[in-house]
Amino acid sequence: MSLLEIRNLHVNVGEQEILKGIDLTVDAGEVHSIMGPNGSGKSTLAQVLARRESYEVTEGQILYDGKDLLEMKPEDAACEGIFMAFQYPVEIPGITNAYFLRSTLNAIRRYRGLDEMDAMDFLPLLREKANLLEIDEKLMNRSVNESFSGGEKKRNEILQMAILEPRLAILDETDSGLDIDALRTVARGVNTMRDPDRAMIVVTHYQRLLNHIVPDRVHVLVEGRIACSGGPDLALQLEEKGYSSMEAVARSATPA
Amino acid sequence: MIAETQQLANYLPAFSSFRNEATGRKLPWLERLRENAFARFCEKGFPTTRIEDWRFTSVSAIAHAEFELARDGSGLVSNTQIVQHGMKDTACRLVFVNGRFLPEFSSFEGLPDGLVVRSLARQIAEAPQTVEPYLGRYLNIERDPFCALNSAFLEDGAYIHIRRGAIIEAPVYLQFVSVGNGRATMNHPRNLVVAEDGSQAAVVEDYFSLGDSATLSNAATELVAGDSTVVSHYQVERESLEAFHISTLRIQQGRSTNVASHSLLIGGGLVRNNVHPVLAGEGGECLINGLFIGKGSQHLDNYMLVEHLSPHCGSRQFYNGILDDRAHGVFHGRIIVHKEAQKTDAKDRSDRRSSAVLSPHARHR
Ligand SMILES: Nc1ncnc2c1ncn2[C@@H]1O[C@H](COP(=O)(O)OP(=O)(O)OP(=O)(O)O)[C@@H](O)[C@H]1O
Ligand SMILES: [Mg+2]
Repeated sequence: MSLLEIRNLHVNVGEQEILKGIDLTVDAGEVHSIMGPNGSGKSTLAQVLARRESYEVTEGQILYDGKDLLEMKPEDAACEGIFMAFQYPVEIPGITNAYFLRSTLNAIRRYRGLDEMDAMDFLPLLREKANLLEIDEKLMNRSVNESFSGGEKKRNEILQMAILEPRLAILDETDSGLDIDALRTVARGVNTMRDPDRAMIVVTHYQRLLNHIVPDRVHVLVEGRIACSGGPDLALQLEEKGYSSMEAVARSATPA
Repeated sequence: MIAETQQLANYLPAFSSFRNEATGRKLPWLERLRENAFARFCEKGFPTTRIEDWRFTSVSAIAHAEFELARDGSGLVSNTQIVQHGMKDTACRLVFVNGRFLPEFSSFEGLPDGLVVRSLARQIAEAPQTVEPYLGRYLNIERDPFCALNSAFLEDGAYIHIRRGAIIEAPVYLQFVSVGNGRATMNHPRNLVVAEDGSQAAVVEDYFSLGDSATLSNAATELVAGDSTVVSHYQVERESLEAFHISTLRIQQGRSTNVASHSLLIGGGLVRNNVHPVLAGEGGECLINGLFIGKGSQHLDNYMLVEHLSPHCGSRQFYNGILDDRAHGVFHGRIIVHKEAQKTDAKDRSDRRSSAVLSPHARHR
């Protein structure tokens, strides 16, 4: 059984159909990359997987570990091991990063019937992961993402992932705005998380990230459909030729 | 405001002869750009302290001086002087003396792939179609008469083009030398930096003087940051204490860009540094750092205007100064969040207390 199976997924935002029939299967241990032009629906797909509200699924189904994902509440999806690194991470004023990370982890541990971690046990774990991602420890005592730089926010998302150890991680443009050094650091963080029991979906505009996080599969999303799929080479081709060729494919597939 | 005709009378002959011999004078778009800018400048005149953006800084010393337009920089400096004052470990070095590019002092050895650098004058002469879409499109000549003046005399400076996806780790180094030789000369360097999508680069503009004539450098840079670019810009101002220095950095940011502007004002008698990023694409980020260190009777004015046009953008500013003797330091500016720019994270964290004022006569505001 695959970890994630998306079948004929149609999603509306308001009156508008954004996803127009997505089929995608991701097995544990795999990394899939989703590329595609602006507005093609990449974030929409990611948000639906993270069970964000305000997206209306009009057709199709999503099976996560054999369970109906669309029946799960966002908190339950998180506790079941789905993690999403947001394109635009949210700020949470008044709650320190360290506290937020620990309480999120503990919520998941409670759900799984494990003991909660106290601050003393948690600190070494936090330190280790923060070091790996070259995150300044000072950020741990500041409010979540508040006045973090763009790069710090992105790294902080990966830190969350490293702490929560999800089974399915969705990274939405975690590479945007990162300089090459930060990109390498983030990629290293992601690569250390690759695991036979874990799957990742990496949304990106640029092939460069995929030099560092080599995916098993690449899918190109165009106008709400997967226009084509392939191996890592597909990303290289896209870098050279652009999306225009794919857009033609997608358009010809649109019912008249 | 009606300009004082007497003050401007100076600039008309300079402009008239400039326009007849300037590079690209036969290009209709460029001619229009220059003429238009000169007309704007004549209409507005030099700013007075009655104008909000200039309330801390009087430029009457500039308005009343008679500057001669510097047209040629060769023969004024030696290679030793250039190297001695210059930065090392750069991707390339472009040397400008009194605003004119000097190829003999410049170095393009080992230029990385994906980086195109040459003098703007040469680019205008040889491939005007590559600069036309950008030049003058971003700089605001309506708001700032110095930008209008720069555009009127637009001719030379640096043209920097970073190709799609190129990662240029060593900085592109632009060395601007002002040499007065006892005469009051002015120069108006104009730089254009175009970073294509997904590229990364750093550009250093370094201004210094040889000798202490009362020169005016009025520089302007248009930096166009394509989607997902990471660009750092450094402005180093270390001209002589007699020099007037005005500079404007206008940044146009695409989607998911990460741009940083760092300015260091140490030299110059009367200095004004403008930083004007426009966060046009979603998810852009701009960091502005300014450090000013004044002594004697230096006046160092830092002005920034940050415009947010799109959602999910962030801008942060940190200005700090150290002031001794009778030096004045100013930091002021505005952050404009346009209607469309919901979810904006704009933080102005300049902290006056972090400016050290070392003498009872020095002032910071
Ligand atoms: N909450 C919303 N309200 C209205 N329209 C939305 C909303 N979310 C997404 N859309 C629209 O859905 C389409 C797909 O958006 P989505 O953010 O999924 O694209 P994307 O592929 O992630 O693009 P980008 O590469 O720019 O991040 C766009 O046309 C967008 O305007
Ligand atoms: Mg998106």
